[in-house]
Amino acid sequence: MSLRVERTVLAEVVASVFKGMVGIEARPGGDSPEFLPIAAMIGISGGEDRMAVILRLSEALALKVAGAMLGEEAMSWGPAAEDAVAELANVIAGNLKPHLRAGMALSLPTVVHGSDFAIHSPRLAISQSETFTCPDEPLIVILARES
Amino acid sequence: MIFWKSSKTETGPRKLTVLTVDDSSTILIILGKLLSELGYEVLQASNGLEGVHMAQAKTPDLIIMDVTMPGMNGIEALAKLKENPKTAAIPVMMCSAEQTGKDLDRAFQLGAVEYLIKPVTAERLKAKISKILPPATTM
Repeated sequence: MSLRVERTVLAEVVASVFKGMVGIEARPGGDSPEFLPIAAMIGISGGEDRMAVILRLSEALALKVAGAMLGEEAMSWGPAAEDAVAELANVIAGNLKPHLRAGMALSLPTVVHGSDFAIHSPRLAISQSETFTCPDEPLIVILARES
Repeated sequence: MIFWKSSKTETGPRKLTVLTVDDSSTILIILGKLLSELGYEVLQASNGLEGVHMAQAKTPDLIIMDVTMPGMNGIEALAKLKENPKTAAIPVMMCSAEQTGKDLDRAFQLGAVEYLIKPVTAERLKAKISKILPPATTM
């Protein structure tokens, strides 16, 4: 089984979730920075399959997401912004799930924030990575599967 | 326990009450605002166990409950609610980012009446809630 999702489907899901939850446009494409300080990960598993949907985003976009979802400006990174980003990842993963194999379930989200980190898993291998611009900040959506 | 908006009075009519159960404070805030704007009184719980206890204590007119939560998840909480005669008749709307799956099937088997798919929007919530509750007027 592949964890590749048609690029148009991925773009539609991300755009739809951003519009519905955040009220901003998410367009495919744009520059992909070497490092983004926030990562939100949702595991998807079922049977013997293990996958993950990972969002990488800037702090500016995270604060924009939190502000839009909570209805008040988020000035700095904190628990409220972390929860908003976790929920964003949860909803994107949930809306991608129908395009994956049937019988999979989502895990609780994990959010990492830092100035210098990398995510490694001895089992997960990146199968797809797509960059979006929302509306002027980068977002990278990564799909990984157990190899 | 958090009262999003309390407007009950001794003499005035009672507002319809909706209990929202989600481990995400973001979703509790969004649902609280939307339901309050629709005129409902809102109670909030941040996990399944707290939601079951609050439902027993407050007997809300509707429960909107997340499926995936740490500790007692929404499906387990739904089962507890339906086991208890005091809460068995309260309509429960499950809420999840997942559009399909065995949790959805299980929720309906246990007696859930509706399924709200995230992202939660005003239109989507209003459409679902109107199938269960009358407009937020008096009882």
